[in-house]
Amino acid sequence: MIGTEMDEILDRWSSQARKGYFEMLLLARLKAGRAYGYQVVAALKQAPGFENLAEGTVYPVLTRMKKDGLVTAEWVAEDTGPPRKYYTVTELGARTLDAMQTIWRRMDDVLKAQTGKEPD
Amino acid sequence: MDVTVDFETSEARRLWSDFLKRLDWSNRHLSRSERRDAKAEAKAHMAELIAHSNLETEADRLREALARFGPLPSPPPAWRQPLAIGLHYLAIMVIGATGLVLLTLLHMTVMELFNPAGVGLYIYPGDRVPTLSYESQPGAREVLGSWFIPAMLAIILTVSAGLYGLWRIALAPTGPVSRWMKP
Repeated sequence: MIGTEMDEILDRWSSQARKGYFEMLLLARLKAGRAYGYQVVAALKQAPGFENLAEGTVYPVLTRMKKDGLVTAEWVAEDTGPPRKYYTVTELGARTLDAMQTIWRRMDDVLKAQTGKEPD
Repeated sequence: MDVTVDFETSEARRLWSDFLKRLDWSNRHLSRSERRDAKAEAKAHMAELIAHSNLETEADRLREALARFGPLPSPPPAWRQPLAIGLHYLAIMVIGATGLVLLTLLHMTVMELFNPAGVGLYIYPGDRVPTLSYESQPGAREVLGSWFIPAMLAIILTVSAGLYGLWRIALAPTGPVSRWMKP
């Protein structure tokens, strides 16, 4: 019973946590090199917790990132298969990723400091 | 950028059409160009998923791709689309009323064969507008004469073609208004 309750709580919590984490992951993947949606999804699905990612959810985030100027997008026609829309990180995107990672590390430090405290 | 994904089976085409409808509904908040771009990108992604699938049938490959793409909300049911319903019922009224007029014209065309001296298009004394009549009245001038039957048949055929076009657009199950009304 406790296990089921905990699973439900963790499902809810991890879903919330992933939302905040998602944009940072996308930026990190694109900083490693330009990629099209399917490639980005394939890389993301390798990450723990993202194995069952609904692939269509990546595109609204990429569209928002493009609107925010974090990435640029360009359609490229392919000899075989469908055309691909390649995303590239902008300078703003790269700097935003650095800032996001700093915040993330700081949060991790805070968590470590909290859990390291001895009860009075 | 235009991305085309073709399917051979009716089952796959039905699933694909449902997916595109849901996609349009999900992206309704975007501008027209953004919506077109988002649709092309989703179609390209689906084409990649289908191409990488090892399943045997086209419909199964598409189903697997749809499951991996994730659920999309369906458009609202018909009762939440008053404009589509309005167009649908307006078309019913126009087709019904015009159909009755056509039946009358057809009846007059047949009656012209039996009573050529009576049935016709007349202009009455002191009147400017021609009037269809089953019997000639004193002083009335017949307008079409022997051209009455060809003229009536031409009108009936032209208007019938127009009504068929309206039916295809607004009432046929595969027409745009009916497809738009489907949940």
